[in-house]
Amino acid sequence: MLVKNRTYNKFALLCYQKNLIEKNYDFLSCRIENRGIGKVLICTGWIRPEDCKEDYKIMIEYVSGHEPRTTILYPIIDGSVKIHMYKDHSLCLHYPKDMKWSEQIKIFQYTIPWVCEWIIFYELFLVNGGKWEGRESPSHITENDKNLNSDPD
Amino acid sequence: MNREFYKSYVDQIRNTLTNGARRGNDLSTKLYSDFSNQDSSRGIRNSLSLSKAEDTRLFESLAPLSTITGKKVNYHLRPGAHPDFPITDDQDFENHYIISVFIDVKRSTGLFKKYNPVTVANTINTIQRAAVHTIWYHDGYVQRYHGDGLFAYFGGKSISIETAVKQALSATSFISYFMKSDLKNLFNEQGIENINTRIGIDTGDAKDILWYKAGMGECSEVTTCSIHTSLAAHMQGEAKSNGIVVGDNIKKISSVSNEIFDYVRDDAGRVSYAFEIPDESLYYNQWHFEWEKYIKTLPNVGYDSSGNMFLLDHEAVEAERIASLRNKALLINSGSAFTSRDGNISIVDSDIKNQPHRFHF
Repeated sequence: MLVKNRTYNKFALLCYQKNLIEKNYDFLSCRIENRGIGKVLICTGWIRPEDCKEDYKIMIEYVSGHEPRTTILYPIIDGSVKIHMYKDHSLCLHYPKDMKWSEQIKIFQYTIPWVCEWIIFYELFLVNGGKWEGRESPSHITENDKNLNSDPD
Repeated sequence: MNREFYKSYVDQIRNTLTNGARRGNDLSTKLYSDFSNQDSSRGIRNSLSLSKAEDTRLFESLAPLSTITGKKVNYHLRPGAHPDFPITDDQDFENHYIISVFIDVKRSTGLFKKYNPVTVANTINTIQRAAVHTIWYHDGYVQRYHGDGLFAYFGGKSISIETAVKQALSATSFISYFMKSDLKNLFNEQGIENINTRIGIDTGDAKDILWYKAGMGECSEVTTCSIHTSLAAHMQGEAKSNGIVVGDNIKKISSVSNEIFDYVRDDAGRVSYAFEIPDESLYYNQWHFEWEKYIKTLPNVGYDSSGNMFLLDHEAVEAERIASLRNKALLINSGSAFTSRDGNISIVDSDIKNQPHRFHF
């Protein structure tokens, strides 16, 4: 019974996040999918922030309560520590020690502006000799620390 | 700034029309005066071919297109057959996505009202050359000439389908621009009926596109068998004068705003599908692609006060772009940035306030 209630609450939270994203941004379309034993909010869309050269297709996968996994689907970019991108093209936009992620954190206020920032810094990285000009954490984590894209609970 | 970047082609056609032989009584005198020292068949053949140096000069006149494609392209004659699909007699077929583009040149028969076949052929040849060179600048391959038109492929094994769609849309937009602006002005000037292009573009999943060797022996070519290649040809027929019609897959794959597409409708205003099997509820949409709006969204494109398009100087634009990116980076790092509905970094406090964070890996 307890599990059932949690599943229901998670779904409501996903719907809430979905509504907020769709209300605040024009370039993302969102859906909620069954994945594993739970549900995942998936938002995809094309974006080219002003002054950027390329169109970027992004995908945000959100498992309730966990930091979303944000992936650059297009263009195909080789992931590396230098650009804060894993080999599967997902991004590490946030240093966990700065802020513990919780169900209260709204994706539209955090993750989406951070992706837009990542694109700005990536386009600068391409023209400035490979220097990341955004603020960076003092330490590195590993490929195994990627954000979740399916519900483990 | 690079204005009139199709000027060399227009000048070439103007020269052909001005000095070329006209239809009717003067045909024989003009032809024989042109080729009096040669036998006529050889003379005609020579007059239709451009030297490699002349073709290179024309091609290089389109170098400003590099500011759109983002890379410098050197002149070389590209093969007709797509090099990624060298299907041999031993191999049956291969499945791989490709973007099929049909370009038809309409009303070129109107040229025969005023000019003899040599002049007409030279004119059409230069129009096709402008289209072919534009396609080459965008990494495309011209598979075949058919009549006054062309059949081209975009994409390949080392190019993502998204990039190939973008290349096809950009190339065909510039070809349409050439026809609708630069060339139209010349034809008006010469009192020639409006010659125009109609373009169809489509693609599909790899499983739906079969590369195979059609024909036999010397009389064969590697080509695609696909509903989407057939539909590209069909959609070309649905396009307006100097228009482009694309299949639903192109619309879905491209990053282009929905506002740049419009339904193809029949005379009664009903949506006209490119392909439909009502019994199976299968409907495949086709869309008018508003290429004039699309070109305005491309970086480095400017318009003068008369509405004429030009391409901005690449280096100056790039320097300005990088300076602006740096300002945005400073804004972000200062903690004063906001994000707008369309994902732009702004200083507008009614947008979403960017939260402080550090990138991690």
